[in-house]
Order: sequence, then structure tokens, then C-alpha cells
Amino acid sequence: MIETPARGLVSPAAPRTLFAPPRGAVVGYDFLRPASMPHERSLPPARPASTARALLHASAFTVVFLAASVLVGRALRQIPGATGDPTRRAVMLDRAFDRVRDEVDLVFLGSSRFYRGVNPRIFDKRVRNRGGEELAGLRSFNLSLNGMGMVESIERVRELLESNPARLRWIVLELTDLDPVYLERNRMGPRMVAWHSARATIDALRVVWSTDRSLRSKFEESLAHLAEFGTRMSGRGAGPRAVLRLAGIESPFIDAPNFNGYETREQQLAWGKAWKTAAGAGATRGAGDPDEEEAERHRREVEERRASAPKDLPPAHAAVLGELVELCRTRGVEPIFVLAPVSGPNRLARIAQRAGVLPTLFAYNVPREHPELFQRALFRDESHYNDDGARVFSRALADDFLAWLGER
Amino acid sequence: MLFVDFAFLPFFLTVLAVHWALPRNGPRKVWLLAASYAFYAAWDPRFLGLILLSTAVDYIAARRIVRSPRPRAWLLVSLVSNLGLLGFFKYFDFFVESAARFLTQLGFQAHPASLNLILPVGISFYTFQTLSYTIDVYRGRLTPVEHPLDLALFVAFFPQLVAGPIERASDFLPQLETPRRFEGVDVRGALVLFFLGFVKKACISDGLSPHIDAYFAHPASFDAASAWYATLAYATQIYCDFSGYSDMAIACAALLGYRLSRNFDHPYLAADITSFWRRWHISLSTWLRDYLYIPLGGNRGSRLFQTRNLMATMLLGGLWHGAGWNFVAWGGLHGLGLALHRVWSTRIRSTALVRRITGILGIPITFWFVCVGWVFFRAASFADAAEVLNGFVRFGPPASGAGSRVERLALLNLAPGLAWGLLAALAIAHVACYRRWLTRIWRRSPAWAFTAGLAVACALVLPFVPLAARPFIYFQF
Repeated sequence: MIETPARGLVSPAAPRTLFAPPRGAVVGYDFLRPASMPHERSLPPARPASTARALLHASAFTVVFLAASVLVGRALRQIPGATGDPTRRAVMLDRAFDRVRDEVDLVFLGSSRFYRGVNPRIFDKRVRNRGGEELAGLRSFNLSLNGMGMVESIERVRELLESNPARLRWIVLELTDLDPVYLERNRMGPRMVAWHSARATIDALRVVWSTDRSLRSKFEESLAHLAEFGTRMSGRGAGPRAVLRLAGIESPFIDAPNFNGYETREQQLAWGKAWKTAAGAGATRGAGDPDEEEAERHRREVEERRASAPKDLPPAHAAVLGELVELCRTRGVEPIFVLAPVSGPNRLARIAQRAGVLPTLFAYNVPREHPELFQRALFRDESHYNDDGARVFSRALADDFLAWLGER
Repeated sequence: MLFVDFAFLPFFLTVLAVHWALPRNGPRKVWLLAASYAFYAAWDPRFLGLILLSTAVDYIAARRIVRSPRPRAWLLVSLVSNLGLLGFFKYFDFFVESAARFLTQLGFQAHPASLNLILPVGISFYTFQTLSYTIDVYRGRLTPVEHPLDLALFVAFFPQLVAGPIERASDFLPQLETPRRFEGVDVRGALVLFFLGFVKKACISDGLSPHIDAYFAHPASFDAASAWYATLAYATQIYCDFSGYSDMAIACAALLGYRLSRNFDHPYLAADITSFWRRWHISLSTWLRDYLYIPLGGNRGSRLFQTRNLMATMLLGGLWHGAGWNFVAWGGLHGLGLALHRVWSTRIRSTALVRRITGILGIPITFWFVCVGWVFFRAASFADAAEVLNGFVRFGPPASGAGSRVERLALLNLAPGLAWGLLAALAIAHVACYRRWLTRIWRRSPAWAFTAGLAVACALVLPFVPLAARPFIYFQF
């Protein structure tokens, strides 16, 4: 530190070893060009920069960069396990569902209210017992994930239908806000990025621009969606996992035979612990639960959004839901929408149902209509069922499903 | 706004386009100053006042130094105000809490009046920068600037505002007087430098960060392999993080037509600790040399006197990095290393054999000494640092947890070959950059090939940029 040589001093007798500066190099090397780089004197003289040439090259750079990014992103998405949600439940769900894809008749898709509240084993048993011969072999699977919004659900439905599951006939979708307030910690997370395909991003933007949000809020939300779309397209963040997969190193996995998407409290704790052990310290974790302050802020924003919700169903919302219904039906699958308990009032859902946008809606969100679903003992926290609650809600769903089938 | 944030791209492109579109030097400087203040305000506009205050005080003080009959008094005004702000915001809580802890240990009841102050980002950097201006004016090496705009831009120039390089007024102010010409910009060099800085920060430093954080959160529970890996990885991370920032800062400034001083010169290839400090955070080490070590007496006087100067400089240099005793210990360790190296180099005759031996062993020994220093720099406490050092030989279960399992870092668990291979590859890349193995290729290639190559290289590194960007490590200093 003390006797730093003057800048620009040429190293006189640098020994010719690997760690010595190149012959004739400058001690106090400057990366940038001006004459301080005598070892580069053999290079052709630099052409002076010109504005026109700079603009031309900037345009060419942009085009090549975008094309290359799309290609790289596409290549990464072809590597199994390189992209997508790397958290325990998502990995377990993907693998477990892959095993039974062609044996499943009904799929549940929704947020944590569905993930904690719908037990396919209870649902199947009820339907098989009471549904007669035709439904004796019914098998369902719960593909719900924490915080799954409606646009993400729709994208999952698209992916599901594109994989042509042989026996799928019904999709039970938890109906949530099409334009939800996303938790800040989840933005730009692997989950959010994973579902931002071009189609989903267009849906999200259509929905955002048809709401009563302020112009600034619309811009901010659109930018966030576009950033997540760009991230997905370029494969940002997927490199390390892609390298591991290409090297034949699988991600940690908890093998739970007969896993149908529902986790009892004990299973959840045991699998969480096993995952931590298998993955080791420093492994990718989910975003985790928000702290109190963030949860409160989120609750406030949700309330504000609800208070300023439009009185009529925005045309874009109706169109997005209508397209989903049409897509399902063209694939021979019937969508059933559900307003889960504790999801709060949803005026727009009722309007959508009356307008014929939603062909089937099971609404459990009004306590006085379903007091049996709102008993305190059934809940593990203020909005999620415990194992007993899941049993009660799954049976209620099964009964309404059978009744609905009977009507048809 | 970080250099690696997406938001920086439109900001910088706008600044760049308007800067070169403006026809004259004056408006360009006004535009750059406005952009610099906006850049800083993106963090916290409240602290913009501190920069303005510091600028105003130094502008007035410097002019008074040359005109007033009592220049020393005006120098003191500058020193007290700048160091006072730095001391208050950065060290007040630290010293109050340390004093309270000390009094408690002596048996006194102490109730520290901690203010929980937020550290204004970049204050350590711009304070040293403005100090160099007034001190140089006092020493007669610089004439005060005529226009306050020039000084304001020197202090707030956004590429180097928040984490250096700590620019000297004598290097930067003359550049403000000469109109910048786009024709003189080494666009190719600047783009490659920015790209390298981006890769160092966004891919390497941020990519290694989760593993290092996981280790240093509970060093007592990890095995020896994890301890070695985390320490080597941290050495890599802090170098890539800080030198990556410096590279990007220098590149941004270069694209605007300004030259910033070099801050790193492949420090991990230093064969001794003195040489390490000639290559690591050069703008700080030369600042400490010129404004602290030499005024203290420098190399004059007895060996003991010189060692005292060296230790004082390094201990204060350590404290500059952060308000914590671990930083002081880190500075002290390096001071000790420098003193021992000085004794070694004056006492041991430099024969061919000695040169050969030091040539072979110097780099690994110096690197390992630096790594041990980083343990104190990174660990949350001295106890944690001791755990890390113990961890190097922890081949069995940890002593504290009878029967508990020794953990291993996820990356080492999952893919040990890849993990160690990654560090080896980075070491080779370090040598490759030093030897400039690839320079000839990108310098000689035709313009179209350079443009396409850089675009494809950007697309290829993007997948290795983690989804969550982390702040630069040196922002906290």
C-alpha cells in the first residue's frame, strides 16, 4: 500500500511467469484504451467513435441480444427441472402428478385455501360411495399452491390441457381476484416468473388495464408483469439449475408414494424437515411467510382494492374467464368455479355467474349460507383449514359436485 | 438504483443520450449534476442535503484557504465539518455502545443513548473525496475551482458517488474544464469493462452469496469442507462485488467521456501483502498513504516509529470500512502483515534462491493470509470468526452440540465437483484477465463481430444472474 509506483510506469524486468504482467505491460494497468497500453500498440488504431455508428451498433446489439436471449431461454426451458418453482411442494406436486397424469379425472387448482382445504382422498371416497357405478373409479388430484392467483391458475389449466391427460374431465378452480394484490416478496420469484408466458402476461395486462386502478398503478403493475415475462423468456436465474441438471445432478426430492396434493399437518412438518436435510443449508427456499408488517400492508391493499372494485364485471375479466371456459370445453373438460370459504365477498363472481360467464359456481364464502364450514375448530389460522376442516370442506365439495352432476 | 438493476439501464441511456446531444460543456455538466442528484435521491432524498452541505462548506473553505490570512483555520473548518458528519452518522452509535459495554464490564451502570442512525449511502466515499480537495488546496497543489458547479459535480458524479473509486480532485477537476468529445471515447473498452463488471457482480458475487450467507449464519454447525469453501467463496465474492462495481463505475464514466482512476489490479495474484495493498482498493490505499500515513511521518524515523504509523493507518483504514471492532481487527491484522513484510524484505537478502522460493510460495501464502483477514471482515462477531477458524479443522461433530450432526453446505452436498470446479475456474479466469489472454480477440475483431459477440455473451450470462439482485457489499461502508 505504501509505496505505490507512479501510474504508467512500465514494469522493467518482469519475470516471464504465468503470474507476471505481460511483456511491456504497464504497472497500474488501465483497461481503457488511451496510450497507457503499450502492449497493444501492435493493434490497429481504434477508430474514433461516431454517433451514427454508435446508434447503428446499438440497434444491431439490441436485435441480436433479444434474439439470442429468447433462444437461450427456450433452450433452458427444454431442460427438465431447470426452470420453474424449485420449492418443495411445487417439486413434489410436479413429480407426483407426472406419475398419475393419465389416471386423474378431476383436478383442483387454487390458492392455499384449496391447498389446505381440499383432501382428494376424502373427496374421492365420498364421490365413489355416493356417485354410483359411473363414478366408482374417480380419482382427483390437488394441484393448488400457496398464493396462486387466477391468471396463474388459468396458465396452469392451459399447460395441463396441452399435456393431454387421458381421463381428465373436470377442473375445479378456486375463483379469486383476476387482478390480485401480489405479495411484494413473491414478485420476481421463481413461481411468478415461471407462469409469465406470453399468453398469461397478455391476460394479466388486459385485466390490469380494465380495472379502476390509477394510471400510475396500472403502469407499475404492467412493468412488473413485463419484467417477469422478460425474465422467463431470457431464462434469467435458470443457469445454475440447468448446469446441475445437465451434469446429471437431480434436485433434492421427497418421495411420498400416493401423494395426491394434500398434506396433513404431520406430513407437512415431516416433509419440510426432510427437504431441509436433503437440500442442505443455502439451498433455494420459498419466499416464506410475510412478516407482520408486510402482511398488514398487504391486507390493507386488498381491502382498498375491494373497496374500489368496479360495480360491473370489466369486459376484459369476462373475456379472460370466457376464453378459459371455452378452452376447457373444446378439450372435453368442464370447469367448475368455487368461491372458497373465508375468501370474502366477491360481487364480481356473482355478476359473472348471472351474466353466464361462469357456467358453474359453487359459492362457500358466505357464513350464513354455510355455517358448518365456518366453525372455529376447523381452522388452523384465520383463513386456512386444519385437517378436520379439510375433511368437512372436501365432503361438502363432493356433495355439491354430485348434486351438480345429478342436475346435468 | 444499482448498476445491475434493470431500472439503471433506461436511466443511464437517457443520461448518455442527453449528455452527448447537448452542444456545450456547461449544459452537459449541469445535466450530469442533475442526473447525479437524481441517482442519489433514488436511495434516500433526505441525505442529498448532506452532499450539498459538504460541497458548500468545501467550496467556501477552499476559496478562503487561498485568500485568508489564516488558511489553517479554514482547513480545520473543512476537516471538522466533513469528518464530523461522517463520525456522527457512521460512528456515533458504535462508540456510544462500545463505551457503554466497557463501562458495564467495569461494573458501572450505563444507559447508552443510541440514536439508531441510518448510514447515508456513500458518505465514506464522498467525504474522503471532498477532503482530498481542501487538503490539496491547502498544500498548494491545487487551485480552488471557480464555479461551484464543478466542485458539486466532482463530489456527486453518479458513477462513483456511492462506492468509489475515491477520485482525486487533481485528477477529475481538470477533466471538467476540457469539453468532452465523443470521438475520444473508447466505446469498445468501456462496454467490455462494464460487461466484465456486471458478470463479476451479478453472476459471481450474487450467485455465491446464498451459500456464504448460509455458512456465516451458523459457522459452528458446519464441517471443514464447508468452512474452507465458504472462506474461499467469500474472498471471491468480495473481490467480484467491489471490483465489479468499480469496473462498471469506470466504464459508465468512460462512456460519458471521463476517466476515473483504477481501483483494483488482480490483487489475489500479489506475491506479498505490500503488493496486495498496491492492487486492492487502490484509490483508498493511496488516499490513506497521501493524507494519513505520510502526514503521520511515513517512512521517516525509527523502525518502531514507522511501524506505529503503519498500524495507525491500517487500524483507521479498517475502521473506515465499518463501525465495528471486527473491521478494526481486520485492519490491525493487515497492519501487522505489512510490518512483518517490511522487516522480512529489509532483513532477508534477496538472493536468487529467496526470490525463487517467494515467487512460488508468495502468492498462495499471501492469498491465505488475506482469506483469514476476510473471516474477521465477514463474521458477525469475534466468536463467529473463531468458529470459522476452528471450522478449518472440524472433521468431526461440533464440540458444542453433543450428538448433533455436522452440516455441509447445499452446493457441496449436491455437487462437490462442480462447486470446487467453479472456484478453480474463477481462479483461472482471474489469471486470464491478468494475462489479457482474450484482449487481442475483442480488440481486433471487426465491429459487426464485436457487436454480435457482446450481444450473445450478454444473452448467455443472463441465466446466471439470480432473480433477486443484492446490494453491493461496499454500500454499507
